Amino acid sequence: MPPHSSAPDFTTLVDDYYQSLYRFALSLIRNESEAADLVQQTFLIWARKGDSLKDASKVKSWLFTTLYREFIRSNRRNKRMEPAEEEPMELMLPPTEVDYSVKVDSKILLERLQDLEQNYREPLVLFYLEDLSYKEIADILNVPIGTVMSRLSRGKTALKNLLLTKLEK
Amino acid sequence: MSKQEHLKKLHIYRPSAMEAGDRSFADALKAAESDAELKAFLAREQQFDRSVQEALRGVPAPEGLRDQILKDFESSNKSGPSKLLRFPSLAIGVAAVLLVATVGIVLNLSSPEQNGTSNFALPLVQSPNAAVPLAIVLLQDNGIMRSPMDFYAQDYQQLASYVSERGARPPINLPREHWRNLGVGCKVVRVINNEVSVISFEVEGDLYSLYTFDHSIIPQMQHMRPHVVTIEDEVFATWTCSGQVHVLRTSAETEKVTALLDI
Repeated sequence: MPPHSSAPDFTTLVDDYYQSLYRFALSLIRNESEAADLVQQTFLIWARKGDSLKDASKVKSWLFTTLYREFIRSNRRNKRMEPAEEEPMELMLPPTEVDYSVKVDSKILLERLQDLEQNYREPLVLFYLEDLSYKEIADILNVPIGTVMSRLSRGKTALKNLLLTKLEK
Repeated sequence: MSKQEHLKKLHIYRPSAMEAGDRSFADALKAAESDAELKAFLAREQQFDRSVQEALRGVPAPEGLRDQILKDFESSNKSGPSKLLRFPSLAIGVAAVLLVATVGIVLNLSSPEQNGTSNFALPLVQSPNAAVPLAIVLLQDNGIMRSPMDFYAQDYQQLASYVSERGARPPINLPREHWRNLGVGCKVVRVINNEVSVISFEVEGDLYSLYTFDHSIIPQMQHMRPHVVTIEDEVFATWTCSGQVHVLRTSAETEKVTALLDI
């Protein structure tokens, strides 16, 4: 995404981020129309409150954080949110000597992502989707950086195994 | 740092090298330069990362989403930011006043240019007939129609405008395109909050949304059999059952709704 020295105009902002936000929303919600709702809601919130953001370099992080908070808010209402359990900072080692060079299909990837626990899926999607630093991912998900790394490690290993299982089938 | 620890760090090092300046990765990366096993491991990891990244970024956003966001923005700009939406308690207060105004006035839900509903009137809140617009106002009050697509700040203004100018007819004539967000043909149950849920479904090409909320929210609504009313090209059927109030909303013909409800 192109950097902006000052706050970008709304159209530019939408062009830059609506697709990534949608993909993130889809990974959270699993329903296309609800994911689209969530993205629209995020931009509406930006339209109302975006001018309060002083640091233009944080627009991307702000949008992802807002979308995630909106998701959490709706989930709390739904009482479907699984309680987040803090795990110790531990990086997992993936299986070695396995060839993952096969091209991953978008549809299959989405399906496999949905098989992951939400705690692992969220940082993983942010990890791959946008060039967000670990600090930014931690801020968006409101967890410590160590937790982000731990979840990424576990999530990535789990995703590899899931994709591998699919390939073997 | 042991080799195992290097492997663990390289496992979460991204191709885009966002972590290039991160000192915690520096040792592992340096080790990978001279260690063939680490080097091969990093190469495999990065290949996997690139594949996943490419696949994820290949997920298409819905056609029209961008334009709809811009359209939403334009609409919200026309009406300006709403103090009501910024201050929920104020919104509730105003909605309560509007609610009283809505049910306290003898309403004629039809204007001369409308067709099919010219004789619908609401004399009293206790009347079963009052349930439909009462429920609609309630849905708006509770934010059910306040999704980005179908309920904006200006809707409150429209509501106030309708109340003052036309005898408290709530603005419910939402464009048909807004139904999209209710999930065409899906069987997803969207629980809006602890008290209200909406199920969207499709029957023979027509879209229906069934809002359900606890009877205690509108205690004044008496037990009633399904009651159907057409307002602004949309059909609303309302009934109470087992302590819950149901409002079925659709653009389908009235006959289809009555057939669906077997009334």
